[in-house]
Amino acid sequence: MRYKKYIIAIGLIIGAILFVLLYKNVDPIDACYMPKCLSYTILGIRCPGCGTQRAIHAILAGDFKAALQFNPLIFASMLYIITTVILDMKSVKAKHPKLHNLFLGQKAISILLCVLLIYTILRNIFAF
Amino acid sequence: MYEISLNLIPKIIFYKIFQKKYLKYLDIEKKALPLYRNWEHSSAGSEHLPYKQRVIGSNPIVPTNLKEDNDLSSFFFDNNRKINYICENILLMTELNYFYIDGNGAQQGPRTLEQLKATYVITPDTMMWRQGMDDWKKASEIEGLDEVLVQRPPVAPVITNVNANTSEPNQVDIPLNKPNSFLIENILTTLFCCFIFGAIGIYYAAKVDSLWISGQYAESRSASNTAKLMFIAALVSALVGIVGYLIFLGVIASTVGTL
Repeated sequence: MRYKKYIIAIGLIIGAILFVLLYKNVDPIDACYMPKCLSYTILGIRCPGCGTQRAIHAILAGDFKAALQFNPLIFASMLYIITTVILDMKSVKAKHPKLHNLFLGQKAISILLCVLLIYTILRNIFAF
Repeated sequence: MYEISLNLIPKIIFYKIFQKKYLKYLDIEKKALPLYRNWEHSSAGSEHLPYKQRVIGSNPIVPTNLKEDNDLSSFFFDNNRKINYICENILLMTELNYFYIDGNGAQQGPRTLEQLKATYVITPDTMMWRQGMDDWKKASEIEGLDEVLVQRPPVAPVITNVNANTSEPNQVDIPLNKPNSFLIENILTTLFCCFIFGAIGIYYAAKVDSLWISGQYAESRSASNTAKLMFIAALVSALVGIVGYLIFLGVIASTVGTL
């Protein structure tokens, strides 16, 4: 399959365009058909990802301040995920084993887990 | 005609039962026919079978030189003969029919063809005897044994293990590939799917690498498997939640009338 790569790439681009169009034009607060957070609707607990859709909508509208207010963690975690994906590639991993360990070692993951849990608890107490 | 078809019934049932399993042997034109040049021997050999005792006249009486017969009645006879071929060949495959002389010169058997295939004992030079044969023959001269001979692996090279006594088996226990920790996947599910499963997944993902470095490979693998399980559980729960939510919306819309 020589064209498989191209087909996947085109599909991803079309999906991204549709995604951007959807979140630019639809406010997830108003639209009932946008997916809702499971734990918030069932248990009433705000999860660490709550507010992501609103944040995306705000970013696409150009309102970064509001986006940060909706979910401050999501940006930090996105940065972290992008760096880890790059560091986890074989060539990068072989070149920079220390950096890889700094971001993906057990300590780093433990800190990440603690941050996620504390963030979840705090946002449920202070309701942000 | 009626009698013939009655006689055929048990054979047809037998054939139907073994049809799938032995389909590859049932290439009547190529393989089975040469196996079956003399009827009487082999049908005499399998006379002890219960279904044969009950059915009289199932032994093929039709002379083989009547092949080209365009008579309508011969259609039934031909079918009878075909099914006989098939059934008898199945019997040759499944019954304890084969004897052979092993490497030490001792007679072994009886074995089925399947057993011979599984044990790889038959070389082209092995002397064999089967029910219906007059004398012992080399395996390469017996028709229908191609599969048994083909499947025999080549003679393994003799390995002289120099370190047999001095050192333990090294490098065998250490697996090469570190299991995937599913860390990034679990972070994503924590944020977007279900933070409970995701958090548990991250906890196990953190364990995978350190366990691997400390040499606890089995524990590392099981931690990796748990992380994977949590990732899948989070995905499934999110999917179920979204689908359930949409169904819920649909129910409300259909009862109230508008969204």
